[in-house]
Amino acid sequence: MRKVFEIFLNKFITFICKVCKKNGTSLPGSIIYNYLDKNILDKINYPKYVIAVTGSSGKGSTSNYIYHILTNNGYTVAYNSYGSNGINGAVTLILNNSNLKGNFKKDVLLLECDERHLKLIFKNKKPTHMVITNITRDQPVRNVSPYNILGEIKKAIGEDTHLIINGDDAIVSELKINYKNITTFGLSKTKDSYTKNNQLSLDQTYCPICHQKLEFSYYHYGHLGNYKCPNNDFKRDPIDYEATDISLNKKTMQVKNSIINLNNNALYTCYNELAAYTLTNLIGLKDEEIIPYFNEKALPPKRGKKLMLKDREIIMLESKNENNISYYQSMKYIKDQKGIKTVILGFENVSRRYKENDLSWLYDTDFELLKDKNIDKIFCIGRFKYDVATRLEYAGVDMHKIVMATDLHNLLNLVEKKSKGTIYTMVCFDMTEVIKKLIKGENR
Amino acid sequence: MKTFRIAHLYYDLLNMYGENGNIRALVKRLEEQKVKVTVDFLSLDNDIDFNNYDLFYFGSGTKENINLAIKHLSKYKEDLIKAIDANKYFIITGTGLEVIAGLNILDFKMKDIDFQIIGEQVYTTNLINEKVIGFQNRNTVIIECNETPLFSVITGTGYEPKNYLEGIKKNNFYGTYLLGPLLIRNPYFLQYIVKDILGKDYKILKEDISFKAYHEFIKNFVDEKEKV
Repeated sequence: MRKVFEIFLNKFITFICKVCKKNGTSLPGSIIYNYLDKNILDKINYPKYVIAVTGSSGKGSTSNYIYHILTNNGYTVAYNSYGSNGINGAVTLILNNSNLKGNFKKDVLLLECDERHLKLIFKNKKPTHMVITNITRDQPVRNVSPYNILGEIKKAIGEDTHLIINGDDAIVSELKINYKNITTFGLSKTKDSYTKNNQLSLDQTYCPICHQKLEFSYYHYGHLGNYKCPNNDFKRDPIDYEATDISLNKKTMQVKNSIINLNNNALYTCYNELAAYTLTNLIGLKDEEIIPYFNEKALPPKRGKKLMLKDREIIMLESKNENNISYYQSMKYIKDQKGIKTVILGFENVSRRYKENDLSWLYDTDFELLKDKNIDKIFCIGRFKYDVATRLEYAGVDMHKIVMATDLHNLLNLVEKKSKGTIYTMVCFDMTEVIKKLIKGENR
Repeated sequence: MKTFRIAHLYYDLLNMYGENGNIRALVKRLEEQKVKVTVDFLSLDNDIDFNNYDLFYFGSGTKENINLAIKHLSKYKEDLIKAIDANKYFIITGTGLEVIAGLNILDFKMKDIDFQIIGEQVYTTNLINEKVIGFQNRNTVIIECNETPLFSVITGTGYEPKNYLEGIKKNNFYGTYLLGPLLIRNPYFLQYIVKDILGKDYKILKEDISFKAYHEFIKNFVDEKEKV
């Protein structure tokens, strides 16, 4: 009876939120979970496929592809596409997709999950499949270290959970030590792979078993690459789903016998698409049911949205603060583009989740990538613009290229007057919205 | 001055919070003073000759990595004590302080706690007039400390909750729970250390943009709070 009431209440509050035009994607679940019943999810009969997608970056895009492929193949899928990826969002979604008896109504439950909330969402009932995109240093204020994140993820893994993991990631791959039901995906060496890591702060440098220094024959980025312990205790084993012939210029990669198009010319796109391919193939879809949804019927690229400022193109890249891989991806993307460039960089707050402003991650992030002769100017914005500029000075960026935008309302004017070339914004979420509004106003 | 030699110890183990920034800061400021600086990156595979260096640095790491560092450093305990007594510089940040505690070379003890102390910190020190800012993230506390404290806490946490002393200074040993690139974020503190290293050879130079960043932070986050 209690269950019936809770499911009903969830649907009812969702309805009210819709009527009031409020975002009701986590409030209903938050009321049920926090005030009524911490065990509500144990009472739901889950479908055959319960897929969790987690990791420090790429979980949104990966789950988006999975949704795209599954729904186009006739599966009904409940998915938190709107990004409420904690326990409250999960409860809201799950109860809204269950009937009052607690039977889940769709074929698949697909959850993009916050790494720390996984253990709450899957406290007793475990996912059938878990995709782990990567684990890197991310929001150290909450997560302390990547090993803590790995520990949190482990709590949600059940005996029967099939793990689909990034085999290039030396931290995620520690799961191979204790778990057997694992499929790996990874990228073969590419044109951009490098052999000497210039980042001083790698997350995984020692073998987790014998503590000898890992030898990397190449890196893709960060601690992702081909690693091997000198005692052979731990290594990148042959990858189950390996993408080869990766060409970011042509935006293609080969997986098994098919050519897959990349919807962005960036390495992280390879991982996201490959993870989605691996998962959907594992649950039984064939190439002809998967490949078209990367190629002729592909999703539009999520990152790198293009806008115009008068006659200049603006490419909007988002960079997650406290996540060096996210910043690396944005800067690598900018570096790889041709022509004269202008960059906008900065943030108002370090985090959306907490008030603390720890800035240490700036020095784990490879801002040296902005030392590019094709960059005309770099505009620093937000409350921490001088900290960002300091970091750029330490990166060896020519300080004459740096413009401090003290008045945000004057930013676009400043950009127009003082800089040349394609404009790349690589700001954090809070500033993306602000800049979009400014551009809208400018073009009116 | 002859070459100033820095040893960045356990650069690949104790590096959780952009700690390389501290080395970059020291190198930049010393080079601006026309001092030749060398940095050796040393870790578990290396032997450490303490006579070969003027300054030793290490930062924060996970428990596992801290234990590896303690194990490796324990054969150098006598050298460490001698080096501190010989006024060599040591800068130890964040949970790197747990390595010092584990070696038992200074007169303080450390205890694990079952919660995480996380937060922004504002300190004063009698070494400089300006406040010191930074961040902590740890799950240990310092007890029974008979060493000289480095800082007094205005906002944040000292040796343990409700204690208002933080950090340890002995000769030229500077240890603090503050993590990350604190020498970059605290240009006045860095200036003090560089001045101390160079003595009468120190030249006053133009302030770089890190001073501006420091003052902005003080304006936005410290003074604002004090007004309230």
